[in-house]
This record gives sequence, structure tokens and C-alpha cells, in this order.
Amino acid sequence: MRQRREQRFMPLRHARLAGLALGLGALGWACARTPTFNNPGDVPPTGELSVAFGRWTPTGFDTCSQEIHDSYSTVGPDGKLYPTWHPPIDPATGCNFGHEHGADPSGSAIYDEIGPLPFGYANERLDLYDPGMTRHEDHVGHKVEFENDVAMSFSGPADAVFEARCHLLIKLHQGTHSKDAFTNNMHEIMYHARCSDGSAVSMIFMTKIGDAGEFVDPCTGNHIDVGTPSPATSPDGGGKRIIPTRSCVESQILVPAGDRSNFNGGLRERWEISEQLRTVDGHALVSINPYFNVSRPSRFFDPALGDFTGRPIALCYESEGGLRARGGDCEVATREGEIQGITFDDPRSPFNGVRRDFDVNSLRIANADGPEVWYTDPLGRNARTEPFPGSIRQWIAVIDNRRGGADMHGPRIGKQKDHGAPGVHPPN
Amino acid sequence: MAGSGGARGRFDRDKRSRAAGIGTAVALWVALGALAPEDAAAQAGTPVRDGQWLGVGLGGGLDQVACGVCAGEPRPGIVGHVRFGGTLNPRLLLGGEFDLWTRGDDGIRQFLASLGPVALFYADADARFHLKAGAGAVGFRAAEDGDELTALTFGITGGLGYDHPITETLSLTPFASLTLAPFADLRFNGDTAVGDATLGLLQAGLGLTWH
Repeated sequence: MRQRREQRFMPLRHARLAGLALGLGALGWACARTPTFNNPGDVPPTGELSVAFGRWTPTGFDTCSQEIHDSYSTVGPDGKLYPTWHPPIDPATGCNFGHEHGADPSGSAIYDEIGPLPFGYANERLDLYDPGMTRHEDHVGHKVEFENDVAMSFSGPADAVFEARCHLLIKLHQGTHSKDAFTNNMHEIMYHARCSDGSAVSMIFMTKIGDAGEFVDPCTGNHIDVGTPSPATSPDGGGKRIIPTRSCVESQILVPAGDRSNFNGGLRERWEISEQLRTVDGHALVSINPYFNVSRPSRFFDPALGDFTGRPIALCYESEGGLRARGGDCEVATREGEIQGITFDDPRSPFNGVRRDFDVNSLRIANADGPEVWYTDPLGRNARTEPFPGSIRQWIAVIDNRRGGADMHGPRIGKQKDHGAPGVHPPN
Repeated sequence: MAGSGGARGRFDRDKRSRAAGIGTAVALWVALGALAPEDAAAQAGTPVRDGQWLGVGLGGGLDQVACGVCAGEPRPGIVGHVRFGGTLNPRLLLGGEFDLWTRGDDGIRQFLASLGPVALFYADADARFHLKAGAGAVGFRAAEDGDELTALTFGITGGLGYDHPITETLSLTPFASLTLAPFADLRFNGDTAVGDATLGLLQAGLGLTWH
């Protein structure tokens, strides 16, 4: 496994041993190969652990130890140690972690430029930038996807003349197992693109997906006001988080005899991003609007529950007035009700959020005057040419690819790709 | 520099080979023309080239729009031309020519047109084979649902033809020509989308010429 081999260049496997971390980290830094975006080499490993590091602990379903899990680590641009991508099953021991992070980024054509992804780096920088705006996300929600040589399209008649292909490597924290996203709109995104027309970006920041404190019902389009987000000062963003609600799920899944449940329609999340990296004076250097879709998440919004978190697997056992789940995932998982007691976090539950895809949509860059390297705050704003406390280094090609409105945009990637593996279960 | 990419270099579109393909097509056409046997009508007598002349033609053509983000693939379409002028002497005809190429792709209609002065050269008064040279404005337009991609620039044209006599004053004229128009600004709804594009048109077909 290439990702595993990367660890040889990383400072430590037993990360909690800070002294060893420091020693091996320095060694790893000294032996570093070509600098990457995520580890440009200008900051040596500090031996310090990020908040994101060590957050995962095994559940009763998982056979890997935390030590094995934490051996998948990387040094971030700030010299701290971060968790990074790992397969759902450890190839060395065969144990399972019970969660997955999506596609192996080392398969990306641009992985050598980008390097291992430091999960939680933007969250970490937010602590430094604004201690009053702490936002740390769980480990399992970090989801990676990439596609090489993606054929892009252009607006209107330009599509008949223009042509571009892109290598895309994207990571979004998209937790679909808890109540977090009912209110919280700030999620870490890593967006890397290299395109044949010269368009190229490498960005890490906290994207604001829709308004804080609410989400959108997929059946009605109504904005559901849930409560105070965390952090309470979360700024509103463009786009929206579309998350199934109890009423919507009921209408699609609890059906009368003779009908079949529509699990695809009833249990699908869609997080629509509309985001920009902006300079201090508000100029949008980069604009993106990818949509991230998850089929069969392990949660839906249920206002009747204390934590608002309904579980799709529980619907498999519900029956009311002749209405019940029929066919599809419930039938397979419970053998038409024969198997009782499957809980939401059981590996036998098909509602585990492993089926995902995303729509690339547009990638607009307005950086004709450069420079390539910008420093933004962790929310992607206030871009300057010099670093500042809590800032994140972003790399943007010197180009204006807006072409008078003939925007470049990409297709859907993954199309409900199944990232599942034996042992994977919610929370995932 | 990590991230500096060299992105263009990873995507080899091999535009040179496409240009070579167009060149090969022209060379093939010339070779076929040179090998074509002259029939009785062609040997009937000295062609009449005097006074005003008019030519029209139809055929097929390959358009190419080349730029940093252009697909650059030669795209087949229908071509037509109208040209007329006067006879300076039996070896040199001067006039003007309008050429139009068009094709449709998934609802996107595209045009490439050129308009400008043209000169036809004959080796001697008896010759029917001729060379063409011209220059003028070259425009491109692709349109869909109210959006348009346009370009307007200056180009040059070179070509050849053969006046195969049908009557004393009417000839069937197979032709081929190549138009190149560099330094074009491609504009999307009026705003510059890409600068320094090159428009090209290779066409071949059959025409009628009245001398």
C-alpha cells in the first residue's frame, strides 16, 4: 500500500510518545523527498499532535487498535502530526477500522504534488486564528474522492470549441451519522485540481455550506431551523445541506402492501457548496460549487427525538397502519424481518454512508495577476500574500479561466461509488 | 515548486499531428489533380478568359480553431463560396471571394466565414489549372440559446483549382484552399474569452465558373 509506505517518511508510528515523535519527525523531515503542497518542507516536524490526531478509538465492532490506526499519520504544513487516509482494513494485520475515508488518494495523478492529506488541518488553524470559533470534527467523516483526466465542459457554444481535462483530488468532511450537520455548516474541504488549460488550485479551508443552524428538507425544500450551531459564531455560507427528514423518509420508505420502498429517493443527502477564496478586499480568487451526495446515510432528522437523530435501520422494523419498509435494503438486511435487533452501528446495517459521489460543477479562477501562493484565514477569506497567525497557505495558478463567462465545469464523479468494506459500520 | 503543476504538459493533445494531417490532405488533393487525365472537352481549345467572371462552389471543409484551451480538432462541415471579378489578362484574374463553412453540434451551430480580395493565376493563356491567393477578414461564430462565441481577424488564403470546360464560357472547377487567420480574440458574448487563437479552414469541392 502506497499510503502505508508513506509512513516510512513520517515521523512516528507510536504517536503518543512525544519524545520519539520529535526525534523521528526530525529524521523524517531531514529525509524528506520533494516538497509537497501539504508538506512544503519549510516547517520541520514539531512533534506536536493536532487536535484531530488520536480522536478515533475502536468500538466493539472494530478489530484494529488505536495504535495501528494512529500509525496512519502525516505531518501538516504547520509541523504538527495529523491523521490521514487509511484503508478500512489494515493490510499489514488484516484488522478492520470499521470506517472508511473513501478513495485512496495515492491513486490520484497529482498525489505526488499534493502529498498525504492532513485531516483536520483547517480546523486546527481555526483554533489559532480565532480561539472563539473552535470547530473540531470527528475522524470518520473525512471522505476522499479523486478522478484523473476528467473531461470538463464549457458554457454554451464554447463547449463546441474549448476542451480541458482535469485531475481532481478532493476531501470533504461529510459526517452523515450524527446530528452534527443538522446545525453545523462549517466543514473542512481540501480541493486540488490540475487542468490541461492551466487552471490549477490547491486549497484547504473550512467551507460554509448553507446557513448555520439549519438545513434543507429534500421533500419540501423548506429550511429546517434546528438550533444553535457549533461554534455559535459560524458564518452563513452559500449552497445548502439537504438532509432527509422523518416525514420525507416516511413518505418514501414506509409504504403500503404491494409497493416497494424508495431507498434511493428517501435516503440521500446532498451537500451543495458555493464557496470562494477571497482577498482582503473581497475579490474572489477561486470560486467552486461542488455538490457532495451520500446515499443511505445512517441518520435522518427526526424532530420527535431528543437528539433529532433518527436511524434508517429502525424503519426496517416499523409498522403502522399497514405501512412498512418493503423490499430493497431492509429486506436484504433483516431477511424480511427475520433478523431482529440490528442497531444503527451494526456492520450488518446497509445504512452506513459508504455510497457517495460528487458533482464537480464549476471551477473559476481569477488570479491573472498572481501570485501563486496566497494565505487566507481558515474560512478562505482575507487572502494576503504574506502569512499571518492562523493563516493557511493556498496555491492558485496564475490564470483567469473565467473566459468572459465561458465557465469550465465538471461532471458527476463516482456515481454512488461503494466505498464499503467488511466491517465498515456507522459511525462512518 | 510543489503544486506548480506543469499541468499543460501532462495533457498531450498532439496538435502538430493534426496540422500535419491537414497538410497531407492538401498534398493528396494536388497530386490527384496533377494525375487527372484531360478529356476531349478539356483539350477542345484555348479557354476564354475575358471580362467579368463569376464562380460558385460547394464542398466539404475542415475548420480548426486553435488556442490554449481549444480542442483544436479539425471539424468537418459544409463549405460554399461565391467569387467574382474582372480579368486583368488571361493569366491573372482579380476579384473578391466570400467563403462560408458551417456545422452543427448538439444544437450548437457554428460558422466560419472569410471575405476579401482574391487573385487567380494561370501559368499561361491556355492553362486551366490555376493557383489562388487571397486575404481578408475571417470570422467565426458558434451560438446556442442566446450565447455566442465569436472571433474576427485577418487571414490569408491559398488554393488551387482546375477549369474543366463544359461550354465555351462555363467550366466545372474542382477546387481546394487553405485559409489561416491568426491573432484572433475569441469572445464569449462580447467579452474576451481567449486571445491569440488561430482560425483555419481547409476546403475542397466542386464549383462552376463563368468567364
